[in-house]
Amino acid sequence: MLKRTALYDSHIDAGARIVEFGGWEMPVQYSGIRPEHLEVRSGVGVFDISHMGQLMVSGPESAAFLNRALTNDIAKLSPGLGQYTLLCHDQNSGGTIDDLYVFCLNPSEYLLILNASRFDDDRKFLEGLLASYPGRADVTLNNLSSSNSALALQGPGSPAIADALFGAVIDSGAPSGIPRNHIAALQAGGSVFGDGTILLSRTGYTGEDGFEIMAPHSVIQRIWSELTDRHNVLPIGLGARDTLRLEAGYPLYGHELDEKTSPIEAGVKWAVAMDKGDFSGRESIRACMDNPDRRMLIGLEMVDKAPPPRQGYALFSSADADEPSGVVTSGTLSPSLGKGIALGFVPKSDAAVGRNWWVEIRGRKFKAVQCRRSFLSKAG
Amino acid sequence: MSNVPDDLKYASSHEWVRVSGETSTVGITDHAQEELTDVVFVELPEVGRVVEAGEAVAVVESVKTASDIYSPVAGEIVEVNTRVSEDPSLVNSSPYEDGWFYRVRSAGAPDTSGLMDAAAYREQIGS
Repeated sequence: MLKRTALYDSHIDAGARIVEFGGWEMPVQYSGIRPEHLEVRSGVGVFDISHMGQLMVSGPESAAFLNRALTNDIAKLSPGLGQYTLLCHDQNSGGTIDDLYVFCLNPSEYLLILNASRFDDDRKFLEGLLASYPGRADVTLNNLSSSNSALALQGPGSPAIADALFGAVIDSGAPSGIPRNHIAALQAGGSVFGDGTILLSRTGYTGEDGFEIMAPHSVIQRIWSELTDRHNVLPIGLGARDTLRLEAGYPLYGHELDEKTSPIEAGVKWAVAMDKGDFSGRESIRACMDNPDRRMLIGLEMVDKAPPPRQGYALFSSADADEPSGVVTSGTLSPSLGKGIALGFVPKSDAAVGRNWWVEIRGRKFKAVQCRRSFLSKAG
Repeated sequence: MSNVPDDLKYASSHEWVRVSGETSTVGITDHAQEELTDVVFVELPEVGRVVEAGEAVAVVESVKTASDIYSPVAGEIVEVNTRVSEDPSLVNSSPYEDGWFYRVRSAGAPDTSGLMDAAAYREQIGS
C-alpha cells in the first residue's frame, strides 16, 4: 500500500501527475519538468519532501552514538548547524546504507533527514547499532515522520519569500539571516500557521539558495497554501528535483550510492572523517581508499548532437572498444545547459577531466567529455 | 482534452497515420505528446529502410524517458521530417502537422485494418 503525504490533495488540485517513489505517491510534475526546473534556477519553487524520513535522536549520549554510526564528524556541529553525512556497512567496501543530513538542535537533540526508500532499513540498522552501544540507555530514537511533514523552498527568490512568509512569527531575525547549513526553530503558536514548532534550515538539493521546512502536518499544509496561493510560488515535482540535483552534481541514493558503493567511489570522501575514531564502515572505507583499482564517479557532457544519456547506458574508453569500461548512473538533457549530461562510474585509474568517453545508446557510441560533476559551476 | 482529428487512423501505441494513396505520414498523437511532456530528442529512421507494421522505427525522448515509436504500417521509408529532429518541441506544439515523423510508401494501399478510427482511439484514451 503506497503512502500519501499530507499535501496529496493539494498536488491533485494543482494538476500534478503522480508516480510511485520510495513507497509514496508523489508528484513527478505539475506544469512540466522543464518550466519547473527553470523557475527554480531563476526564481523560486516549492517541493513537497514529506516522504523523507525525519528521525530525532535525543539524550545525553546522542552525539557520541551518532559519531559511531555516521561517517562525518558530529563534533564539528555546534547547536543550529547541520552537515551532510552517510551511514555505511562494515562489509562490501563500506557500502552505503543511506546518505543523509544531520542537524544539531542542541547538545542532546539531533534531527536526521533520511531518504524515503531507505528509512525502514536506516532505523533497523541504527537500532541494531544502538543495541550494542554501551551508552544505549541515554539515547532515544524517535520517528517524527508520522506527525511531521516537510517542504523545500528553493531558488534565488526564496530568501525574500521566506522573509515575507515568516516575518510575523519570528522575533529573532529574518529567515534570510539564517546562514548556509544552519537550522532555526520558530514557534508558530498564535500565528496563521497554527500551533507547533517550525524547523527552518538553509539547505537544499537543487544547487540554489533555499530552505527546508519541517513541521507538523497541519502547519506544513498551511505553509504550502500560503506559498502557492498568496505568494504565487510554483509547485515543483520530483522530475525537476532530479534534473536540478543532477546539474548540481549531487548523488542520489539508488543511482550513485547503494549498498555496494563506498562514499569514496561516489566522490563524497569530504563527508567521511577518517581521523575522528571508529565508526561503522571505517575499515572497509579504508580498504576502498587503498584500492588503486577502485571505481570513481565522474561527470560527463555529450559533445555532439546526441540522445540524452540515461541510467544503465554503457561507457567505453574509445569509439572502437568492444568491452565497456563503466556505466551511466544518472543522465538527462540538462534544461539549463541544453545538452546531455550524466554521472557515471569508470575505473579511477582511467579517469581524467577533459578526456573523452563514449556512451552507447541503442547500439551506437556517442562522444562525451569528462567534466567536473558540478555541471553548472563556472569556475572551471 | 486531447485533440483527435477525425480524418486519421490510430495505433493503440499512440501513433497516427494520414493515408494519401500509397504514402502514409506517421506521427504521435496529441495525447502521446501530453503524456511525454517536453520532447527533447527525436531519432528518425533512415530513408530507404523497409519496415514491418509494429516494428520500432523511431525514438522520442522527454527529459525523463525514452520511448519507441512503432510503425503503424509496413513499407519503405521515403521521407523523414528533419525539422522535428532539429526542433523536437514541434512534437509538442504541432503533433499532427509540423511535428510529423516520417512517410512510408507501401505497395498499393497500406493495410490499416489493425488500426483504429478516431472514435475508437478517443475511447481508448478516455477522451
